[in-house]
Amino acid sequence: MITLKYYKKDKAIYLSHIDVLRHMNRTFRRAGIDVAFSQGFNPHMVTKLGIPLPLAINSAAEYVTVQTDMGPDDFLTKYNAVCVAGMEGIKAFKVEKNPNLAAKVVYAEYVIKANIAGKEEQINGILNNESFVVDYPTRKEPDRKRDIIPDVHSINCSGDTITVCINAVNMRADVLAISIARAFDIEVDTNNIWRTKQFINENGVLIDVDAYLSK
Amino acid sequence: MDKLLQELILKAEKPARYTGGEPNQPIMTKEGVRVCMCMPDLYEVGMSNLGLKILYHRINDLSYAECERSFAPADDFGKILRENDYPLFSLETSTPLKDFDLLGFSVQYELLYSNILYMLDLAKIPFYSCERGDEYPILMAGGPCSVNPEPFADFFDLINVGEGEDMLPEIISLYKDHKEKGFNKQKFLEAAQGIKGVYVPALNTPSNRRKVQKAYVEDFDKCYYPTKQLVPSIEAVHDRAMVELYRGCANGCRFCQAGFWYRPIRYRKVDTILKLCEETVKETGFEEISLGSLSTGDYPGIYDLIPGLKPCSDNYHVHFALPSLRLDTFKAEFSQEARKSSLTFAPEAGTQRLRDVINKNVTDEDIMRSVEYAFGSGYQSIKLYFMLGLPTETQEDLDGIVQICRNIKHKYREMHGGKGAPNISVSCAVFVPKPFTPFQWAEQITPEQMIEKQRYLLAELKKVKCVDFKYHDNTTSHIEGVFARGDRRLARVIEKAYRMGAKMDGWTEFFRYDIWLKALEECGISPRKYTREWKVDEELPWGFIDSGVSEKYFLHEKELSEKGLPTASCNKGCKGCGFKKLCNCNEWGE
Repeated sequence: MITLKYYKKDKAIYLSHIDVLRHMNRTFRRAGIDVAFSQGFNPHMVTKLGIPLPLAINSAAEYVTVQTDMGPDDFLTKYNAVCVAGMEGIKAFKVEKNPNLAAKVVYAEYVIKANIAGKEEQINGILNNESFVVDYPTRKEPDRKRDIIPDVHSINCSGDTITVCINAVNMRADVLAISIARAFDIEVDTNNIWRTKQFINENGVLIDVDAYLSK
Repeated sequence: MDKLLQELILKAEKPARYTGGEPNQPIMTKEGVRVCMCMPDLYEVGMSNLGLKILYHRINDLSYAECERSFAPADDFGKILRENDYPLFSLETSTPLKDFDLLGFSVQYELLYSNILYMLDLAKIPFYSCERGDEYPILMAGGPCSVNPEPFADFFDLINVGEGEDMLPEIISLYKDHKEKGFNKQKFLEAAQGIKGVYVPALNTPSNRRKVQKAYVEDFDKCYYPTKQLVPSIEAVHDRAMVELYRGCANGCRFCQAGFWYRPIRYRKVDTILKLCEETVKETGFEEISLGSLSTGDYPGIYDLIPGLKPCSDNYHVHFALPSLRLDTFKAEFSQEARKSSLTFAPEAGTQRLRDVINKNVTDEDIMRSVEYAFGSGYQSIKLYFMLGLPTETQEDLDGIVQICRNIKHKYREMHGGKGAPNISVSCAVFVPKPFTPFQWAEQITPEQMIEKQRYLLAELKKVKCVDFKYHDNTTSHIEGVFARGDRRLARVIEKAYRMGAKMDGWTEFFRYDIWLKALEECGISPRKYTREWKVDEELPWGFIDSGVSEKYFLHEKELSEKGLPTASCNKGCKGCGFKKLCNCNEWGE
């Protein structure tokens, strides 16, 4: 079994989660990677994607797991030869069983390009507050307010970037970036947000998925 | 893609419709003759079209040209572009359409005419050919509607009549030569008329006609086919590859335009098909390949082809689909091994008499034999396609449709110990008389008659109890009927309708019948002028096009239909339609 870590960047950022799944299956077939199929009347490629990435956010840490006997190096070479532009493979991990990242990943790290304008200390100090309520509009609730403290693990400003580690499931980095920008009157580049790491929670400790897969 | 466009695309409902970058997209250098294929429909519909993929890659394989794509934006994105004054662009390099050398519109059916103007409007390109000088791209149109291009002729500089595989490279090569010498639109169009299949409406007018011969590929077995083809970003309507088995059709159903228009019959060899299928799977990764043709069961090599596909199917886990099976050629071997969901057949008419009139050589026995097989091998659902308003149709023919459903239900019960009922789905289209068929002079029934017939069937089929009845909207069929046999006067109607808000007419939720009727009225045109019965000695708007099938043959077929006499398949001997020397119709025939 192989878990592939791959990018989602350039034009690939506009692909939805379900499009990514369809593209993965077709890429494996193009690459001649022998992936296991489900049994039954409608056999389909068994492809396990990680957590979804919101549309238009870049990522250098996406994961997909498939059952195959191929070695990781061979897998990566074959995948990269025919993959969708912007979804290039970074590393292939050999794993014993499906790591089930879609269920296990709890936090993700994002790097946001911003013009911080001397507000580093204030932004870095957000987590010192007991609560920090910001505008957090959604399609259904355009006026929604939300206390971000429970879902933000860390915030670090440095140079022209803000690095946040936030709940991977229920918080969007782009919405948070705009909220922080409004709260502190700074500029953020919402076209340049990158997911850089994903974490699982093992006995209360956050572990980078790469480290978890390398074990 | 500039920053503004990035932001605009993000506001769209499905951004991936507008970004390109799919697997197998060639690298663009913005050099050479720059062509953009424009599909006046949504991305997911346009990307299902085999013609677009063939021509896109055909042009990109030329050393002196590059081809990009553009689709009609959905309503939401169209508004965003307009609000931001951002001109419609190509997917590959986000180049505004007006900066290309040539724009090629693929016109698939009559209800897309308003979308041509929608795209031109968003691209800030004047609608009429006479309004565009040398600074604008040359606008071309092709596709199935070029059978009768007159309703949209005034919008285009040249129209590609027939198949484009050979014609387009010739046009582009000519353009390159003219561009090198200093481009002059008039001179280019004059020269383009010399290419087979090219129709230049400004130089070939109803008062000054010259014949235009339909272009077609002579050696279909060696015909260009892109195995390394685009794989859509988002799910396309037909999300699979398609490999054609043959072009043309030997059956000669009298209502079927494609059956006559795509003659001569040209087969691809079994080995070629097998090779193309395997290469396509390897290059695209598609999980399904559809083996296309007008009547798959009539492909003479079908018994070698099906077992031949098995290794490819097993090795790559690929499913092969055999669409367009006729009842008389349906064999047990064709059905799928795994999924037994539903089988679709098209008897087209309810009685043997009417089937003889339309030359659908399918008998009641064929229907029941196929149904018996289907139920015997586990199918529970049968889909049936019929047409309403066929020439000479009577009440008895409508009752025939109901009777076929009763017989199928009876057969099911007989085979299941008198219990249960199958799911029968009956789908009724409205007959639209089309150019280049023996019914090209026939009358189309009025919208009121359509409603009456549909209501009758709705009530009668309800009594059978296991039938789900679907029917085409009478209003869209009516407008389709007007434009199918339309002339140049209709360009103004299309423009007027577009200005009043008509677009995406192929989508029932957007189609506005009232707008079209008003546009016709304001132009002083009665729809009846086009849907009435035409006299055989009348001049036909499409009469200057030479499809290869003689008018004499259509008249002969018309007479036979009036006598209720069928014509056998071309496979049983040449019927003398005009293509004899070039046709493979009897090559593998009996």
